[in-house]
Amino acid sequence: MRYVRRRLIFYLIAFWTSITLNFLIPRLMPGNPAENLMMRMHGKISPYALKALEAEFGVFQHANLAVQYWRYLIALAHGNLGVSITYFPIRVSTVIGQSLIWTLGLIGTATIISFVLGTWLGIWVAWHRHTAWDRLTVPVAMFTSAFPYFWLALIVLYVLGFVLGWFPLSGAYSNTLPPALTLPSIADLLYHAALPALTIVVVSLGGWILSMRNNMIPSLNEDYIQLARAAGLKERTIMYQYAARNALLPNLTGFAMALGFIVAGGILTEIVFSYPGLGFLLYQASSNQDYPLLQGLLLMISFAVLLANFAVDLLYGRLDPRAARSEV
Amino acid sequence: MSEILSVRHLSVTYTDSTPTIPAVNNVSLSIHDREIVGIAGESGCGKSTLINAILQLLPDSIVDMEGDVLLNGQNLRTLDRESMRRLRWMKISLVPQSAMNALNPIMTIEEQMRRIMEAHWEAARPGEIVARIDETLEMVNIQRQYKKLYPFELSGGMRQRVAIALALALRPDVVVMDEPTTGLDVIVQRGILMEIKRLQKQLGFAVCLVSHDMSLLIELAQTVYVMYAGRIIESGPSRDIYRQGRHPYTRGLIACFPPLQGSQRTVEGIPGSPPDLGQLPPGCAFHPRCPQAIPRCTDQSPSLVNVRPQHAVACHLHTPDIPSDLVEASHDRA
Repeated sequence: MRYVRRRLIFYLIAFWTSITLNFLIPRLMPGNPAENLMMRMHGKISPYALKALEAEFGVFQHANLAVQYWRYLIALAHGNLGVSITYFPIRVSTVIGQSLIWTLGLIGTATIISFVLGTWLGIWVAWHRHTAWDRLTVPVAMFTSAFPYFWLALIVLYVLGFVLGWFPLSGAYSNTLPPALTLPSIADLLYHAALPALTIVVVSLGGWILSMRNNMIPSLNEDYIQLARAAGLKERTIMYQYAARNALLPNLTGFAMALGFIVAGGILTEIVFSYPGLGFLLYQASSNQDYPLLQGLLLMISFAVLLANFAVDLLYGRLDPRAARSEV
Repeated sequence: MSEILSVRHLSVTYTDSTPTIPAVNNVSLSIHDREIVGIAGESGCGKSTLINAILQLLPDSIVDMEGDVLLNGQNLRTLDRESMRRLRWMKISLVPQSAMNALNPIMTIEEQMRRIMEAHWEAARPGEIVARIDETLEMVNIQRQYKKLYPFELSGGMRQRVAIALALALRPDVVVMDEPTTGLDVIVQRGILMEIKRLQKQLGFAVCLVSHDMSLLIELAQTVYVMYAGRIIESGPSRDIYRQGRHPYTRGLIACFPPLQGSQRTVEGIPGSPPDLGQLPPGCAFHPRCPQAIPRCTDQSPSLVNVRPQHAVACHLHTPDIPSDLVEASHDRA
């Protein structure tokens, strides 16, 4: 399909640009990160690790930029992102891999729940826009989406976790119950994820409700909705198949952005709830000046944003024939 | 010919604005079996509101309605929602004003037709629906393979044909057409109108044709109603309206278009524009624009009276107690 091929080429170029920038930016920064690291480690770094780090950063005095770039690409192709300093001597790829699942599980699920629920509520509220439900929902949604996230998270943690003790204060699972595919373990994981997920949904739900509602209302005044009514289609069909399907299209772009930022977006959540995800890792990496880890995480984030956008583009092509067919 | 659609003393007031807007005021009309009835008037005279009121598409939350709409003797105003929904499209359908926007942009032609048919033919087998879709599209001269296309892939004329096919899919008794050719070029317009006429003969449905184009209505319709500021100001057989239209507004509308046959005539317009329905002038709503207004036009609203059987007009110039020489004089001008 022509549309898919064109989008794919676009994203491959975008991905290449992002890995190239990821290569260039550290080299444009003043100073030599490897020297900084040696000083931070008080010379206790092993010659092997130092060499690996130097290779990762390309701080060879003798190699020119092109050679460094080539080595960087080769290393990347092998999934070699270097060695983390914070978690020395564990590889960056391993560190990221261990945290990724927690972030995807928590922030990913919360984002999808929030989008689906918010979109559905937005459709419903727009459909009943002359009723009290609409007049109530709009200000409430505006109010909750204006909450400063960290403030809400801290209050929730303090009240529900510390004062009332209904929820755990930190972590993704109990130390006595390592994660496994057993019922008590899954229950324990959900118990730990409940508060952080709740705070994410509370803060982001309003935005989805409002944007879907605001897309729906002009869509409900379209002539094809009036025709569908005159034609005696069932209310549900008009609401979902005619109005919502058209109104959903602009919202998908927002959803793509949100999906992409799942990887990075959990920083505050994971810090407040001490959740072992990528956001927490990013915070640690930047406070410890862990350049290899930072670089790996940034690469990961840009990859996630591009992948999510590509997936939504494919979906968009399916849902809106104009996007797929009119693009020559 | 039996009466199939009857509108009796219908008034519609929009209550969602201040002041409230009386968009349709005491309108009565009737459409007989296999008849084409025209409703003429400029934009903003209440034509669209009248159509939406006939089709029961105005939500109670924004309008106040009075009067009755009878379809085959059944009062649509007293039907419950589900009965009304079942009756829609089976008995009365609509060709909307702008086919450009009246088709769902993200569904193929076939899917849009199928969904409407499925909503009414609950027991139908898929084969029957497909056969009916193909048959109906063929009737409006759309080739069968085009049904897989999306509205944006069709030309304006084809979209209008699809809208007509959609309206005829369930073979209704009455088809309401709201400016069915506006926005199309003259040649395409002509083709579509001829098609409507041919289909009407073939399938035998009645048409309520709404347009600002008087020449089109006179050519197609048997009976014409002229609307101004939410009221019917003249009605009668189209031949009488064309030759002996009495209301100055009717004659103004006719003068807006060159004659279809016969000698050339100067094309004139009607000076001014239709009044704001929320702030109608006192007396006859047309008097500020009327070239023949007399003193009583400014304070008395004329009522619709028969000047001949089947030909009624609401104008003080034609009510009996007007000096006859004035009436004659106004006729000579026409």
